[in-house]
Formats: sequence, C-alpha cells, structure tokens
Amino acid sequence: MKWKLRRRTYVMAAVVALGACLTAAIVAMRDEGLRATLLRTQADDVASNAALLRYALPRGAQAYAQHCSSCHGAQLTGDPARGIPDLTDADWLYGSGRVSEIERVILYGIRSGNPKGWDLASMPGFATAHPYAAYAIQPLSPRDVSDVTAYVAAFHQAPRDPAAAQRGAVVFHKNGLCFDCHGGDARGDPAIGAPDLTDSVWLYGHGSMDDIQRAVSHGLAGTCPTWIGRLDFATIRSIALYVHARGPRIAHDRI
Amino acid sequence: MTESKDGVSGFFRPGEQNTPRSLTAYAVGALTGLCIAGYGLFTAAGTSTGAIPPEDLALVNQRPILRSDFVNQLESETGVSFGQTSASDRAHVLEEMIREELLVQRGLELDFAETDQTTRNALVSSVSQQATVQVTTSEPTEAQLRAFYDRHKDKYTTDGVMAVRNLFAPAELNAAPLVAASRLDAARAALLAGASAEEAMSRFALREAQRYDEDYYFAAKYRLGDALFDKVRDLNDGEVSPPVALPDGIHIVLMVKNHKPVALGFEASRAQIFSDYKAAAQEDTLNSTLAFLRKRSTIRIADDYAHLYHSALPTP
Repeated sequence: MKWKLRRRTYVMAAVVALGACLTAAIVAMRDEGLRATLLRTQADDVASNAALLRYALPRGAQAYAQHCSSCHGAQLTGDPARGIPDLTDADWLYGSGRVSEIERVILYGIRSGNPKGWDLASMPGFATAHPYAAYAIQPLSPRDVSDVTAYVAAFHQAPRDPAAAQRGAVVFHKNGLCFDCHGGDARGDPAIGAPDLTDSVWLYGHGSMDDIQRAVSHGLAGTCPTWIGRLDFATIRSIALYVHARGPRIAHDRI
Repeated sequence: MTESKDGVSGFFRPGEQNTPRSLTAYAVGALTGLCIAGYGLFTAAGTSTGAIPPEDLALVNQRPILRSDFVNQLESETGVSFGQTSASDRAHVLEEMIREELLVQRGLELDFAETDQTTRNALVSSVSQQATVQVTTSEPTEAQLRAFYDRHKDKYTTDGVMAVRNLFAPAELNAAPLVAASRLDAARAALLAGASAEEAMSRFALREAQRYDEDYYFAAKYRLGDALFDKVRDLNDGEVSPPVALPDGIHIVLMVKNHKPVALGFEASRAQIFSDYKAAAQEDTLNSTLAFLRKRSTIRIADDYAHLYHSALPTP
C-alpha cells in the first residue's frame, strides 16, 4: 500500500515535470518561431502584422529604455541643447522614418566608426581655418557668415536686414557651398542627413540667429552608436519598431 | 523486472538496488546532455551549419549576408522602396552581393592588405575608427564636460574679427633701411594723427598689401603672417603698429576694427566643448591603442634610422 502511494507520487511528479518541460519547450519554440518570423519579414511589413508587433513592441520598449533613452529621453523627444533629435516628430534627418531606415541607423549608427554607418557629410565650421575634415573648403568671412545666417533666418521671420539676407542667398548658393548638401531650395536631403532649413524643426537650439550663426561658424556632426554585435538582431528590429510606433503616422505606413 | 507481493514493481522502489532503473536513469541523463550539447553546438554564433539564421539572407562560406544590408543595397540601386522592386531586381542584387563576398574572400586569401595601397588606406581608416568607436558614440557626463571646459577655458571665446590696412615700404626700394624706418615712423605718426591710409601711402611712398574686408583672427594671421599678427592682435580701433621689418619690406598696420574674442560661458560653448572633448578622447584612445600595438610588436629599425624613429615616438 505504501509503495503504491509512493509510485503514484513519483508518476505524478514525473508527469508534472514532463508537462512543465513540454510547456517551456512549446513557449520557447513559439518564441523562437516569432523571433525568426520577425527577422525574416521585410522590416517595413512588420508594422502591419499584429502578432509580430505584440511580440516586438514590449521588447523594443524595454531595450529602448535600457540603451537609447539616456540620449533620446524616456519620451523619445531628444534634447535640442545637445543636438539629439526628437523621434516623435515627422522630421527625419536620415530617410523618411520607415522601419527599415530606423533599423539601419540602429544597426550601424551615424558617424559611429562603422563603415556601414551614415557618414556622408557633416556641417562644416566656416569660421575656422579648416572648415571641413574630409576635403578642402574655403572658410567664409565674418560678413559672409553673418549674411548667410540672415538668409536662413529669413525662412522663419521677416529679415531685420533684407540686404544682408539677399547677400546671404548668394553665399548660400555660391561660395558657401551650402546648396550642395541642403539643396538649392534649402529643404535638405534625407539621403545624407542634411536638415531642411525651411521647416520649424531645429536639431540644435531653437532657430535663433545665435543658434544658426553658431552652427555656420563652428559646424556640427552628431553621432549615434552602432549596435550591431552589441544587441541581437531581433532586439534591434524591436527597437526600430518601437521607435516607429511612437512616431507620427506617415504616408508610407501600411497600417 | 520483478513485482513484489504488494504489486509494486522493483523499478519504482527507490530504496532497492535496481539495475534497469539505473541504466534508464543513465540513458535519460546522457540523452539530455547530448540534446543540450547539440543545441549549443548547432546554434552558437559562428557555428558551421546548413541552417541560415533568420536575420541572414545567405551564407557564403559561413559569412552572412544580412537581410537588412540586402534591402539597403536593393533600395540604393533601384531607387525605390523594397516593396516596389521586382523579383529580378532582388535576384540581381543578391547575386551581386554574393559575388562581392566571394571576391572579398578571395582578396583576403591573396592578402591584398599587404600589397594594395587602397586596401591599406581603407584598413587604416577603419581600424582607427573602430579603435575609437566607444568614444565616438559615448555620451560624456556633464561633470566630464565641465572639467574639460575648466581645463581649456581660454579656447571658448567669441570669434575674434579684425579689419586692417597693411602698409609697407618695399625692400627693393629701401636702399637705406634707416631712412625707410624713419619714413614709416613718420607715416605711423600721421596715421595716429588722423591721416587716412591713402594719404599716408601717397605722402610716404608706401604700398598696401592686398586689402581684405574684416577677417576672423585665423584668416588675418594667415594673411599678415605670424610676426605681424602678434604685433597687431592687441591693438584697439584706430591704433597703428610700430614698424616691423619683414623680408618683403617694413610694415606698419593700421587697425581699422578689432573685435577681440570675448570669453564664453559653459552653456554658450556646450556644442563646441562636446565635440572638442570627443576629439581629445578619440586621440587619447587611438594613442593608447597604438601604444598597446607597439608594445606587443617587434619593431626593429635600421641603425641609421633608429635614433630618428625613437625621437619621433609620442611620449607616453
């Protein structure tokens, strides 16, 4: 009688253990399956897959809090004092805010030292002897810097000195070479991370004359780390999806 | 397997010695171990396996081609988003990437790093960037930035701007240097008394070096030369430098306007401090990396260059 009781206990324990193992294995396999599907699905298509989003978004939020929030902030709103972009607005410096584009920034960074990172151009410092490290550009004179500042500021408010703004337009389109990155219409170029100077979104500061003059005089070159090799691919994609989900809906979204 | 009187198999009696039970337990243990080892072996990074990891599109001799890289290259080449590309576009780009990987791997076999200067330049650049990657992308603390600012306060100023008239008596016309010097003294006195630069040039037979509008200090220094710039940088508006003898003649400089640099506070200089801090940290890190590489390497220099080499090494 005593042995029968013990046998039942052993059998029960074995069944419970087996059940637990099977459940854990099923959960792990399901998790692995979702992870694999997440990675095999084209990044821009994941945003329209509810099951994958349910899997990825909590992971993305957690990883974002751990790895990205120290710069971009818990609310993803950045910090204009440090030139850290607001990820919740519709203004994307690199690309147009697609998941695949965000993922690429997270994978390889911006001026991160990774050869695949974004590093095609930086803002030269025109009030310095050597404005640009990559190749030779002539410095501008103090008057040119002041005039081109007036020209850019004139996109946002009536110029205090219209003649200076007019001279600045010439500097912008000729010897300043500003058009080369920012475009002839000053609307920027997301292929190289050149910001639109005509909109109201400012990466550094708030668009005051001082902010603009400082950027023209001393240049800018923000960075974002490369995470490939430091985070697994599913985590990187999850962060990209989380950032995308927190941003505004843009025309190219499929949801 | 025996069954006792109470109907319980010996297999389930833990208190009794039972060979089949022991063997079964061993077998279960061994199978579990094999499963764990097998899972680890065939899923670890770098494992040679027939399975393609989900983040990869292909493996070429176990070197992955990432899906993300593929999409990026496809979009770059076609100029449209991934969804708009055709199957033939995708096949073409995949083949291109595989071909590139094959050629890169062949290049490594041929050791082009040893012979091809372009490859060497690219490697030097990549390794230098890699060595400083942590510094490049790390965010210095407020305390680190403030400490850096305190150490280099004199660097953080407004940009000095000056406009000058640089007049000189050309060397080839100065048969008697003393006469020329006294002529320049007289010209200086006239300028200080309010004469215009044009009047001074005409009365004292002086010439003007090329005239520029106002310049930043660095540009003025470049145009005037170090010696002359040092003499004029502290002049106030309307003041004139003493005569300075240079190879091309004796110069005096009228300071038309001098906006001297004004010290900037921490907040006003933050962006500049940030980039200077990083540049300094990158240089330190690269120097440390090179010091480490030198330490672990055997570098032998020919006798006639040994002294030269050692004197050129950066001090630790």
